[in-house]
Amino acid sequence: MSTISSVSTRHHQNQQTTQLGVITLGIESSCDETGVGLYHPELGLIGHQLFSSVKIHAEYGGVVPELASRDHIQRVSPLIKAVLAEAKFTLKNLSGIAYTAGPGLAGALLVGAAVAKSLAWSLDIPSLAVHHMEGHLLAPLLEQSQPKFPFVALLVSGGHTMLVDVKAIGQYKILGESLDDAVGEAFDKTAKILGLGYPGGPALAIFAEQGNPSTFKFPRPMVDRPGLDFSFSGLKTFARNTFAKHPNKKADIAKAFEVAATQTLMIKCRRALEQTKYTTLVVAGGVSANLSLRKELNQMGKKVGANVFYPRQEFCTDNGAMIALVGHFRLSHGQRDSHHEINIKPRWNLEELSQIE
Amino acid sequence: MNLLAIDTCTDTCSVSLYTQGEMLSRFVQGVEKSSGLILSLCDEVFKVGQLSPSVLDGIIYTKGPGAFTGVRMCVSVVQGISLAHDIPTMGFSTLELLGFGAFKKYNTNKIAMALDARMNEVYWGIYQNQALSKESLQKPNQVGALGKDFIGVGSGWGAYENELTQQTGIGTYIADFYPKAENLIALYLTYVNKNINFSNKLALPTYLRNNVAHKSLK
Repeated sequence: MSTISSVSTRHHQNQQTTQLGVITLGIESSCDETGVGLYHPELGLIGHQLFSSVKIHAEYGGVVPELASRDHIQRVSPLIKAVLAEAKFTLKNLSGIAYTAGPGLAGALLVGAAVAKSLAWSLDIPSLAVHHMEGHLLAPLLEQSQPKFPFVALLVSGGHTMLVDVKAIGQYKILGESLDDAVGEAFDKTAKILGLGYPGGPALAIFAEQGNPSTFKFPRPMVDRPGLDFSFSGLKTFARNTFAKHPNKKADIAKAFEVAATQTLMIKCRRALEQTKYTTLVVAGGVSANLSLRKELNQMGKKVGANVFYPRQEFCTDNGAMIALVGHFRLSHGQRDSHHEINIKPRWNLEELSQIE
Repeated sequence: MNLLAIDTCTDTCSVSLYTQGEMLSRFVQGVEKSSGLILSLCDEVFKVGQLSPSVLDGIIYTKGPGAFTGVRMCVSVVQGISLAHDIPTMGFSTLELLGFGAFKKYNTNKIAMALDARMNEVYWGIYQNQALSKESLQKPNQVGALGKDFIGVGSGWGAYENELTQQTGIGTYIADFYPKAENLIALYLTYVNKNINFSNKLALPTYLRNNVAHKSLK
């Protein structure tokens, strides 16, 4: 930012900033995490806060949508206040509000959308519906070292497994996706089979560190045929059958599962890079926090001459920062909700998004 | 005094803006997902009234019980509008609003409110001597006897007509009787007379039905 020399100019500038906000507020509530973030056009991300209701759902062995919705409504408003206070700004400094409109759990999405839209309406600033997966795939742009377009994005979480051709913001083509379980779901289900609780994906990864990778060899689903689609439910079944025969080899099963899953993802990423001839890979979503996966992909990247980018660990999972970022990109290009009706899109195809000019 | 009242807790959606002693109201019925229209209705009445939400002295709303999604729509919108300008709020039971509305319309003092809660249950409340005496989630055949001097109002009377009339002994009921935001304003004004007023606490829902998930036995 430029230095301002004269007192009168500074006064004038201050007045302007207090009257006209520049910050985008992002609100995420698509599943069991309430997240808010603040994105400043010059300073970048200036604050973010998250509340996870994962402990509530753990007792039920999976996310209970009604309980998630009940939690969001208690968290969203206090989190917005907290993130503004933390960043030392007020609502008057906002220029727009972005919220996750889908895909996700309807009841959960609705709370974030309704608070976001009514707050924006009351402040007389624009609101914008944001696609949750676009948030994930652009999350690495919150970092210092940023990927350049075009790139291949691997989105891996408890709800999604997809490879996307990203030509520019809003220009997405899905190259492949899971035909059954998402990879994160397969991690969680396998963890449950091994008695590691819910959500057991991260616990499985830690447990696998003690396992011997050569005890069992799990299949690499769908790598022997062309295409970029995935299938992970068979891997989970393979783990169940192996565990039934070898109940004392939990760590080895965890290891074999993890190796099979991460190598399958790596093989498909390599294939996607070959197919698109891109040299940049972006990996995002909850499973991108998995260190074995990162190791596997980094090695592959080195071999084929591709750079691999990840969000920082805390932005691998759901968060409001990525929604603020996408909101900033799109709102600053004039995109905004065209009406005051509050409607969400629990199913929303990434390819339907408009590009930014 | 400028007041906004909103309700989306059942399958109707209504808003009322009270300014200079007059009410600008909108009411939507028979539209699927009508609760999502609430902010558009708010925008409409503020445009007609040529006011901005920043001039509001308070927001009055229904906090439930009702359809979970509708209840959360109502409370979320109240949270958003009030957060923008630190506007205090006051939430009322949907059943109390129904009872108060029936008291005003039919000039009777004994009202039994029933909202269809699905799963063979009703949100049940008694409005007597201008006060909600109790509210609960009930099986329609277990609400207890009341007597012929009561009247029944609310969707539960349509859904569980036989059970409720047999149980209560009530002969007169109006199933298509709906919560209305303009009655929320009138109800609020009766509370001001009792020295109960707005609060700056976060607006939150009342569900009554809390058994919504089964814990894993594994």
